[in-house]
Amino acid sequence: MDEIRGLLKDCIAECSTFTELRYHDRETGSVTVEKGKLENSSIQKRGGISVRTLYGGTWGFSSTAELSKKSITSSIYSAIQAAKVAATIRKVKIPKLPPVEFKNGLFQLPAVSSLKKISLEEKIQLVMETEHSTRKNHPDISTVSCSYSEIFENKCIITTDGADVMTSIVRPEFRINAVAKDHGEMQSGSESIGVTGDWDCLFKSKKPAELGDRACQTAIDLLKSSLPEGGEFVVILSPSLVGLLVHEAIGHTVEADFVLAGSVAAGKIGQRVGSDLVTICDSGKSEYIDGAGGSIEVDDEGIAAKRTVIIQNGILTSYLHNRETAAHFGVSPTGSARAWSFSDFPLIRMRNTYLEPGQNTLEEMIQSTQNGFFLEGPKGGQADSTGEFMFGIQKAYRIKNGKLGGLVKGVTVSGIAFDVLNNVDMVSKEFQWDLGSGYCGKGQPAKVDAGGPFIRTKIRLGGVIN
Amino acid sequence: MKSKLEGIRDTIFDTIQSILSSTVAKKVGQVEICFNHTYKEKISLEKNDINTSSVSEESIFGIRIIHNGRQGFVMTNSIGKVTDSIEDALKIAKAQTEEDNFLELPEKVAVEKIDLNLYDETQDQVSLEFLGQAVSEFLSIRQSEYPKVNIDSADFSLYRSCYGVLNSKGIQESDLDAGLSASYLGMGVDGEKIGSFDSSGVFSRNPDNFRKELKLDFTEFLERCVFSLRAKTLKPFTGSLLVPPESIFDFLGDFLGSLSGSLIRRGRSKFSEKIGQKIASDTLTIVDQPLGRGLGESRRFDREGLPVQNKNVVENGILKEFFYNHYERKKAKAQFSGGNATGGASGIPSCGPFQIHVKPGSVLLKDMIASEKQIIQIGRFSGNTNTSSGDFSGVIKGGKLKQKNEDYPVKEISISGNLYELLNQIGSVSQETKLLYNSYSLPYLMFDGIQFMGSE
Repeated sequence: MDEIRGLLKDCIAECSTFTELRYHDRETGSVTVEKGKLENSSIQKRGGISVRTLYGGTWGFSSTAELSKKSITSSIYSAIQAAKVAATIRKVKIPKLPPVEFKNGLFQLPAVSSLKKISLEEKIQLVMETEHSTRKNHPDISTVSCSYSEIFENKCIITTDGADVMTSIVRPEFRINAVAKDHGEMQSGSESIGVTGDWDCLFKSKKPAELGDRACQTAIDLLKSSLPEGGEFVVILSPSLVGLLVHEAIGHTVEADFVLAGSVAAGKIGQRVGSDLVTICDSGKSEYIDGAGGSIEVDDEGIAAKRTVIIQNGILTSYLHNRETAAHFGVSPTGSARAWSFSDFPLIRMRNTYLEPGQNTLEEMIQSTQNGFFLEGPKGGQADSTGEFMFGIQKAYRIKNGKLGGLVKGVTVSGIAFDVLNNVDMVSKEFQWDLGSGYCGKGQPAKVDAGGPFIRTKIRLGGVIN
Repeated sequence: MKSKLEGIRDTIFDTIQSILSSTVAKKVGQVEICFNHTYKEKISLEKNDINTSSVSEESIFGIRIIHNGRQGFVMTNSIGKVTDSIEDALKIAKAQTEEDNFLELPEKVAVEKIDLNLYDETQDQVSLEFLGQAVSEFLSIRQSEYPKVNIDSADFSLYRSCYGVLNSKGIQESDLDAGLSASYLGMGVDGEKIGSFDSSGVFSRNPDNFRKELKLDFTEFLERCVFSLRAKTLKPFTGSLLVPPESIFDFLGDFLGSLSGSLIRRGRSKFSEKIGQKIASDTLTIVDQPLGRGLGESRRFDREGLPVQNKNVVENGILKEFFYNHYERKKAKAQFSGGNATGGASGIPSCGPFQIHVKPGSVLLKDMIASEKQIIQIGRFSGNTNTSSGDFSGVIKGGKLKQKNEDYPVKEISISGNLYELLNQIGSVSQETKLLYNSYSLPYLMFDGIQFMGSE
């Protein structure tokens, strides 16, 4: 990496306009076993240099997989030529970026070297043994699939105005999925974990066998369940669903590029958007518990990935910014610029998004709910420009007169983001990161995490007409 | 004289042939190298203006080896590392304890040298300046005629690529491909009122057609964004769901995915052992057409280098075919009816269709919506589906309540049910079809008996 850093510094010395060079390589290993068979064992290695220039008030971008001065210089030229074409059309020019404080240095996660010491044979063994034991312990399950993957990522970012950063991280993930069948009906249950760290971190709170048991039980329970009635209900959301809520419903709406395009959060800084109990943050650090899956020390512009308070006791306080949007709004960048690969342009992305814990317990929340649902098990979600969000849930348990009742099939929940936050009336003390195996999509993927406590609010459940 | 793209393809091809004949490859056993080289120019928009203009070029190599019944795979984006990657893939294979005697690379099967009109040298003349002109027209239409629509993001790109597969059993196939595409995402904004996201896009291999289709499609998109500003909520009710061509894959995509030979073998599909059985309304006929000339997803050979064929997947509601790669076909003891190994150089071959067409029906669209039924036309489905069970649940976006005099936009409506049961609830299929992205020919479908969970 030092050699690459030297090469980038050498190339950038000749640049007269703002230029950012990012060396970025990724090695992804994955192993998948199903029904005792190794379905896939593979490695993907992809790396190169990206060039981003600010020329004529607009961005030019190019990339090369070849690590040579000739190729990088050629890419710099291509990026400038591309910017020249765009500059003739672009209406609102980007002014010169104001100076910022960079977090320069070398940041290497210790987990990188400890995970590299674990052999491929051990990783295959982990997956094979978990799949085998899960199937053996649950003979009523028809299929179990188990997979392990890990992403090693190295970056070096050098800019003409002083960024000089090298980072090295690893993110392992573990997933298990079970399918139960009965008289032609099929249901599946899934569990997954993902961290920024090593295996001690990955399996700290849940061991592989436990994940397998939970996935199987979900599949079996869902076979016997029916769809709930639809409508608006009081719900208690598990930490994973709280994470999905804050990510989909809030996080995307406060990404400053979307704010400028007209999101519902535009013009609302300083206004109430949630109850007093709601404080939502996005951070590059793993707050409260180690290992959150979206952790970064520094973003892809060389800015410290700070903890950003988005909503403080219900009041909208900040957006998520890169250097360009921070300059537009007259604030500091929040360290939110991230690119998936060397050939991707950095966009404003979330990192670890969460709701701060409160004072209640989960038991108190259930006991004080007369008619509602306890929801857990996240599936995918989406946010809309209107502030309407939706996400899927695996399981919904009826709550009647303060008692947890039968399981109904998980459906989609939806609502208007700020309405749901304004209806939060209980927040538990417990905290979990629970979306570390997730990927956010915004034209390119990003590893993120999200979580929080249990919360009680009102939400719309898709379901059947009663 | 060769074009630049042909020159690149030939260089890559020769290098891979040489590697396959080397001792490293020969000691390994069965070796397959899949490659893709793409040159791309792109202009990206945000907030109704240009954001970035970019140029990129990259080659990807997927190396698959099968050694004593064990498989290993490595992807690299450096041709200089392909030989090392063969050694790495061998190590991956050797790390496994179990053998699978069905694992093997396919033998060569003749691929017809037909011209699918995927690339010609005139496409080399298309440049970033051309894209810039298209972007200018695009922004000008929005600003002058639809100022209440905000373009959140848009991409305009041209690509030129070569791709191919070579293996140690004699398969050596490659093709060139080029095209232009545009995609856009935006919403109507009128003061405090914000409409739902809408998105669309076009693809063409011809610059003049690209501009014409872009103008037409973009104008329809802008109209929809403005229309959705007046969206209202509804009470819950039971009625019919009209699915336009743009949303058909929201409802058929998971069904088609469950016909993968891999899911069938692993016991994850509800449709195993249903070949020859009625699984949908007899108004539904679905065809995979990879050999359509000039179409966006057309190709002569599959991911493993085997020839593809046009085929009926569902015919009048009867299931006719699953999608197999070589391994899954061998495991299932199925006859070869054209290769359906999908994916690219980044991973091992999976199974699926290439270019789906749904046959038109016998009913005119105007007659489909003339009935007394309450009909919601969906814009897009925002939700989740469980591919194993078929259970789905989600929110209708860009919905329209179809009324005799005037359609009315609606919002905050969710639907739930089972996709596979829905296949038998197709009330009618329109005569009219639309060719989306120059690839998928799709009609309108009407599903009856749908419960709409309105928020009023």
